[in-house]
Amino acid sequence: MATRTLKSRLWYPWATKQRRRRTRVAYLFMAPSLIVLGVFMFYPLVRAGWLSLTNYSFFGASRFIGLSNYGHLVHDPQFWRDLVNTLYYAGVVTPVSVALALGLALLLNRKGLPGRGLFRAAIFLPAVVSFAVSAIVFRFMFTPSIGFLTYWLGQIGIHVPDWLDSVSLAMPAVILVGIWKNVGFYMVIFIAGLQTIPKELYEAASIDGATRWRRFSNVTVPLLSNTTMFVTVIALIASLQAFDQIYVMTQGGPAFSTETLVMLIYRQGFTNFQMGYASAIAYVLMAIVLMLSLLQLKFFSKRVVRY
Amino acid sequence: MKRSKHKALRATAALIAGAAGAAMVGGLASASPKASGGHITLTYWNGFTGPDGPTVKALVNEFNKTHPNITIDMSIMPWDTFYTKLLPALASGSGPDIEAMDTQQLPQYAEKHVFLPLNSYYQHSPDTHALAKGAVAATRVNGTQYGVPVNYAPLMMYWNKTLFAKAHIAGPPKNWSQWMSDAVKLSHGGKSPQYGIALADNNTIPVWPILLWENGGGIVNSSITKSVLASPQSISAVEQWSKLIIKDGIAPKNITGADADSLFQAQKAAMEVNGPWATTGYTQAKVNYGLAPVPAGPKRTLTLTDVTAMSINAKDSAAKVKAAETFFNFWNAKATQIDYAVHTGFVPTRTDVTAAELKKNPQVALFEQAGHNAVPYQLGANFTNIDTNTWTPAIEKILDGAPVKSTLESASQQIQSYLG
Amino acid sequence: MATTLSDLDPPASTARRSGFPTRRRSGEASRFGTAWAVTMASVAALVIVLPLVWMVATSFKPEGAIITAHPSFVSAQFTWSNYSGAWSAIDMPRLLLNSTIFAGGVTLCSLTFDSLTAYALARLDFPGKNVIFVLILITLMLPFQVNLIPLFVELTNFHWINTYQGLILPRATNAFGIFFLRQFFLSIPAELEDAARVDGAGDLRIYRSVMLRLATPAVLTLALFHFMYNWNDLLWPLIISSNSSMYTLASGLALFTGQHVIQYGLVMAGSTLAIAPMVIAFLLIQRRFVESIATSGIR
Repeated sequence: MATRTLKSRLWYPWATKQRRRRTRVAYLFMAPSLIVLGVFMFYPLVRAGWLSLTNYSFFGASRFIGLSNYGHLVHDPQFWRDLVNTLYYAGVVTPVSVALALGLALLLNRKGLPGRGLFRAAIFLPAVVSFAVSAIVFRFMFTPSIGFLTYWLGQIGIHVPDWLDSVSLAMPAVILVGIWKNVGFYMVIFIAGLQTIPKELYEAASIDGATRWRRFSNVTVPLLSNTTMFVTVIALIASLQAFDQIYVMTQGGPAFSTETLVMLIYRQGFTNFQMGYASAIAYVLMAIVLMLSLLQLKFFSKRVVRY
Repeated sequence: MKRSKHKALRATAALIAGAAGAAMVGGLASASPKASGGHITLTYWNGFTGPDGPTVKALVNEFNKTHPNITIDMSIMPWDTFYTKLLPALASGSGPDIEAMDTQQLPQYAEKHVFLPLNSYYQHSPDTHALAKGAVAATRVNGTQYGVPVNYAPLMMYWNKTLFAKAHIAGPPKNWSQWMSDAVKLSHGGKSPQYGIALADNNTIPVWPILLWENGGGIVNSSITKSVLASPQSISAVEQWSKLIIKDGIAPKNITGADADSLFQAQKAAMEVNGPWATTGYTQAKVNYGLAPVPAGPKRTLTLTDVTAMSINAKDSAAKVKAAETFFNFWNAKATQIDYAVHTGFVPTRTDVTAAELKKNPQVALFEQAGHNAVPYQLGANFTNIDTNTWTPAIEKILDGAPVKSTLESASQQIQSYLG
Repeated sequence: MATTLSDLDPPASTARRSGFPTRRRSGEASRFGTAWAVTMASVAALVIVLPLVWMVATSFKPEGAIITAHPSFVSAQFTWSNYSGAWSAIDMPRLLLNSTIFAGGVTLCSLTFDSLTAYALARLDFPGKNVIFVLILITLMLPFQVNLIPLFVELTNFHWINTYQGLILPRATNAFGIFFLRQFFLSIPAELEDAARVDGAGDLRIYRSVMLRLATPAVLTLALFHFMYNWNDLLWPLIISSNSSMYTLASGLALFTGQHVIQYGLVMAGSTLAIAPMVIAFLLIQRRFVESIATSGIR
């Protein structure tokens, strides 16, 4: 149904002169971004790539050691342990956050819902609070016997296990905070996506006598697919790079049960000063993220509606 | 269309003006006073966040006022940030002229030769002989002095007088057997449980090492060449205390230093081993507490002392080094130390300060006493690997139910591999 | 899911305007649906906001009354002292100014640069497009912690430590923003662009008066994200400035958390002050959402 309005050709392959001009225009449009990215992202990124081939540790001579950092990594049990932790974290946080965010966006995109702006603001609020403060607050909720959650649930006879301090429960606790922190953020993106769906498509669907479910599956889902793809990819990238709340809440503990790959990078680079090795782990992580993201993009590109 | 063109133009103009304005303000802000005409400016980085900050700031201001030729330009930042950027900054030449860090970390930096050896300062500076020996020892790495103490904090046992009275215990425990039985008596479960002791094991001032030391064990030997974590004394210390925690519930498992403080402050834990910085908060919260030495162990009576020390950037000019030494002299002068101790609760770095001089804050004298039986927690250049990456996770695993002996043995092997 | 599906109707106003009788709910069912939606939203909002309510409540308690054996939201001893304490302990006006310059500067630059690039990637065809898109995505995938050191060294060499340009320019464009706007520009129907081209509009004008106008909700949302992210960022300002006169509000607040002692009251009061402008900005932008739909002319 959405295809009713679609048809377009943006450029005209028969005119090479036109094409050259168009290319020039495109690069002019992108020039400011590309310059900034080149100087402040790619140059450091290439430097980091070079570091991953050395034994750089800030001071003293750094030596080119080829791929030994990468070879070391394959046999490093810490790397595999933290990879599993990372996938565990991302495997739960990504789908749950995206689904919750979409549900909340649909709920709060309803016209005429009393206090809609306030509800949106409330759910978005955690994204605004710094991780340092959220960590203090969450530790405070969970402190055994005097945390306000442990205490009040204890008063009504519910025993709350000491989440953050248990090897098996610390990860679920950190996951919970990860979802809490970002769900409002993704919800706002979904709402912005819903807002850009042209209203006449719904009208047309209503005229055609489509049911609510059909309007959802035939209008909302396909027209929201660009947004959904964006949110899913961003959520995956963010969760594979989880660092902040874990760093401030558990520092990767107890007994490394919440240490993610980015935490390992930080620990190797900034507390053990093994910047070369840290860069190698980062490059491997980047490759994993890239692979998963491209798979996702491919998955979505089959489903994305293009005008 | 026309309207929007104007709008875009205006927006662009505003953007450019904004960027230019920002750059100008930036230029102004970055123009800091440079050394000229005999005037020296020293940049000083440290992590004295929290309640210590205001006192440190006031003392530095006083120094700047009384020393017109020297300006200390101090940056206080969270310790995390400090450790993240210190080495890159030193390596790229934008590091501070002087800095202060915990002496636990000092060897990792000294090994990289980023700090100036201070042996000659200690020789020619008349006042350094008055400094507490334990504090000075903590700044020594393989026989070379790399730092001058900023503060000195032996740990004591805080005990809650109200909870002790409720449990009909007359006073603080004197030795381990009293300590253990009191801890059990002071613990109970139920709707709102109470703990005998709040014993933190991560993100905390180290307390567990004291238990190992007092039982004749430890993590490494005194020359930091050999792991002693798998020694019978170390294993027995961990076995006794972890059993009390797991079976008798004398302490919550795997808590952080901040959690432990909260529990003691909320009067849900009857004892806590902690430094002098905690007194202010507990007094404010109207906790009726006493201070006692850490109970005597079966083999030794010993507590831990935390020492922070200042060091000089190895790249500093002779004039800057001289200015830095002037600042060190000021910092460790008697008057400064009395002022600092009274306001922060830290023990003076000098041993010639009398209790009468500290009467404005009588608790300081108690900690000063405790300092006589105190040693710093030193693990050499492998501090992070041994403590954060091996020992702490091992104790966390044990409190989570892992067997004591085999866990400590494998941790010990790991530690030995770092020591070479 | 069942409840959310019932909320998928087109906005009521549109249905009214379309002039067609819809088969939707009777008044009673609608009221029931609204009540249901309000209940759901309230529960979600309460659960999410609970920790923050504690934060604000704590900011009004005296330090000694924050940690107690019987934690409660409201303390008998109400006090403003944490706010005056936070205000006097750090140079609040200076930190606010720095935060505004930093977050505002990044937002302005980044919105401009991101949207220009997103337009090219979404609406123009040119050789190397996919390569550039993937390269931009890659910058999103490298953990920031690894770039930090090379970037820090680079900025040291530029003598940009402790300057606003050092704080702002490395963030003047952003892969997230480019990707975000590209997705929105992709969704804008081609007819509108074609119509503008027939009118003789060039790319710059299409970018400005078709894309930016139609994607206003997205642009505003992104502005909010950029502003919020940088307003809250702690590590970057602390790394790039070693002079407390260059600290931002978030980095200044970090100084209340000591090595051994957390000044709960000050931290919570400072954080409440820091998020207040963000909440107000969000509510304002929320209102703009509705307006922009009404005036965008998509209908």
